[in-house]
Amino acid sequence: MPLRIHAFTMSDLASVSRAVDGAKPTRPVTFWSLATQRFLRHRLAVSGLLVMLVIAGIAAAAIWLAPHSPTAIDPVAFQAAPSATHPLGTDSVGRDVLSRLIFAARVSITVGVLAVAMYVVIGTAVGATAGYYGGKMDLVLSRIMDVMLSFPPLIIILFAVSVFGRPSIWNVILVLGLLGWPALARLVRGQFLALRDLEYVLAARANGSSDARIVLRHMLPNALAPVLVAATFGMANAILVEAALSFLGLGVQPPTPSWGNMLTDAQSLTVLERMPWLWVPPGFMILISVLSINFLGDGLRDALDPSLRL
Amino acid sequence: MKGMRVWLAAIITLVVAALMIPAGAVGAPKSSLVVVSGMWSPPNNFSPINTDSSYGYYVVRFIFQGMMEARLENNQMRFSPALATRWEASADRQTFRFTIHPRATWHDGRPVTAEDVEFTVMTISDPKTETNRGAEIATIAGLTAGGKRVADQQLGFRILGPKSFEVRTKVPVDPQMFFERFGGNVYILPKHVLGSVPPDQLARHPFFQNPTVGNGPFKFVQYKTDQFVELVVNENYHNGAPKVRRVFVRIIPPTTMLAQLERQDLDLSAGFGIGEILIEDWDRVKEMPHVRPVTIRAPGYQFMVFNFSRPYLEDKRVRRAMAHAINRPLIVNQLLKGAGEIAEGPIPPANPYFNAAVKPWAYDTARARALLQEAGWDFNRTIILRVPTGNILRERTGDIIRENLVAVGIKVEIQKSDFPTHLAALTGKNYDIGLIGWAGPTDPDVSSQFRTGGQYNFGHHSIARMDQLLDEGVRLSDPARRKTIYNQFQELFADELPYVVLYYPNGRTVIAKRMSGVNYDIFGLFDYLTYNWVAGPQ
Repeated sequence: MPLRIHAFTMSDLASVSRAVDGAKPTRPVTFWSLATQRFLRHRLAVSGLLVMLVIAGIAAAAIWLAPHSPTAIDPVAFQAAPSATHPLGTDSVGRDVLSRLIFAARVSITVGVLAVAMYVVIGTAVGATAGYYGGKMDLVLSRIMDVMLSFPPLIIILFAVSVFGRPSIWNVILVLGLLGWPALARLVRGQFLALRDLEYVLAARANGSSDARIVLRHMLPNALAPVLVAATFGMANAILVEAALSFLGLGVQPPTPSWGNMLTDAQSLTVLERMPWLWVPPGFMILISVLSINFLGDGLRDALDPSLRL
Repeated sequence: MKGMRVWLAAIITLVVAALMIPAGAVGAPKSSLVVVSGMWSPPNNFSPINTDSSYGYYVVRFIFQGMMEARLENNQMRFSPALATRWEASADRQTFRFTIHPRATWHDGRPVTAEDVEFTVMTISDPKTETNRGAEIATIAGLTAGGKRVADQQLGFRILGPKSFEVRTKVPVDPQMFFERFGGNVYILPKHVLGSVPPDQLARHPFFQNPTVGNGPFKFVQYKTDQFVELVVNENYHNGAPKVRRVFVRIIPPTTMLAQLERQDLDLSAGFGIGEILIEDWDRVKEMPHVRPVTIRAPGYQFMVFNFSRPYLEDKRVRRAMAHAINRPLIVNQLLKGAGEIAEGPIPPANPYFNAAVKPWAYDTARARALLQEAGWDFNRTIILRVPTGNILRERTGDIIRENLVAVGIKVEIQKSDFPTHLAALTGKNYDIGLIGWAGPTDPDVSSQFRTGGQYNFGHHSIARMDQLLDEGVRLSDPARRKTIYNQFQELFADELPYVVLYYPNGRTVIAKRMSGVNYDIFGLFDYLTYNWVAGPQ
């Protein structure tokens, strides 16, 4: 049986190992502080976190950082190469690529964070219900998850975006949020199935605690680590899906820039070969943001996985 | 481990190399006898009366012909013989006589006769036949406006001899218009092959997937679905056997087209709207030593339509303000790289009926703001600009228009959708302003777009004076008097502005330098007088 450790026993174990190491504990060592230590030792993960923080910072400060308005047209420079006025050149309708790149970060961060937050809430609720109650409830909810997981996601998303009326960033978030939860719910359900028969849960039940209290107070904190990891990877996926949808014209609507719709400029051989400033910057941003989040996720998984600590 | 890496590298190289071989590269060895043409999308069938699009008709016209082939030269319509050797209009402009070439035969050796023409007219006009040629014959006596037969009415068609016939119209018509539509756009069907097929089953007849009995300069060999159509010379062609022995029409996306041109593996693009060079690639094509870039003066235009059922767009000062606000010179000079024209109306500058006295409204933001204020425009209102996806230039135009309108204080939100959804929104009045394009016949009758209740009246406008002029333009048969009417129509159009015509884009096409005798027809397509094509050595 895999080792599952309750938060209370965790600190005990930690101090034991600390004592063995011979270090002097200056403040109580918890699971989370230990995980933080482990995370900080993971260099790729830390650099991923830093890159994401920088991108988030750029997105937040876009108004002050961008040299031009992201929609302003320079009437004398269409598809112009990088220059002093336009450090990354201009796009096919004479807009500053650097400014658009900076503003587009907002879209990616917003979609990534909000869509994932939405499906984490739904997925956790459904998974916890299924795992905690089991039986018929579990059967029904699990089959719903199976059905939803067996649809090809991009097709469903394309369909949903067009059914919800006009495509927009909020629709992309809504669709990703409403469709992304089953995988997460399954994860949470697995966690809850393993947790619900552990002694501390039985003890809480014997105390007469309500179901809600048992789930929220005792079980959820212990099931949270894999959710956090899945959410991180989910964020990378959401950014990619938004880019794909915008590239297809179903995501963020023009003239609002997104890294995906910036790439639509690169649909001819000449642009690909001779005008790299039109597609390299957004492509690079998608690459490094997704890569950073994935490194971050790797680091979190390693740091939070209790089985790796001994 | 190292060995595995080498293998992996080899496999990746192979896969990448395989991916770089463009689809449709199979087909033809190059010689002076073989010509390869490229177009963007596949046709759904080869029916001379019902193929789905210009893609289909581009192939059809190699195999099937009408009475004549039409082309505009120096703003004058020029007709060349196809199946007919002679065509003439009676003095009253109501009766038209045609004589078919004595040696015109079907690809199976049977002669092409007046009976085949009658069969074709009967088939198109049968209410049970699926066809898109109805409008081309609709002027003939005994037919409805959609070109269908009416019970108890005598059809204006008479066989005079095995190779000659006469067509009578309902009222006197402009002979140019009649010859363009009936003579140029009605391709003749083989009665001895299709005569026994019930009209309602014709559309699904296997003949239209494998049209082996044609009457044109080339014979159908095979169609490799979504890859290419192969055509071979008709040695017995009555206007002289073509010099080119074999033609391949490849179905290739623009990027592949450019790569094949660079490799000298393609001789010509198909033409306006169906096989062109992307604007970004144009300079590169000009640098290629072995091809001739050909700009086609546009037979069509892109426009912005106003939804007249919105009360706030009813005031013509608002529409004119938008015409002043949109920077059309910028769009043409920068976006189209100068390869286009601006005109304030739906009749192309390259058309005999164009009224050069009507000047487009200038780009003038101050005037635009003044007009909006005068008209009492609500500057807090946000209007929806609908843009269809697919035509990348049009999509980019949408971004520019929004910036331009925002600059004069009109709040605009862009809403993009695929083309069918877009069209449904326009016909369903579910928009404020929308972008779309149009290319029509050379004849100036534009009633279907601008008359009250017209099939393509996307703005749902109803302008009494415009209806009057359009009706009169159709009723008159004298070209000079028609010109006066259409001049007035164009003046009225610029005043009322049911559309802002954005630009007339030039077609950007290519022909290999080794080719001669290649010209484009009134549609801007290169399948014109194909029996005159000559291909030199590589």
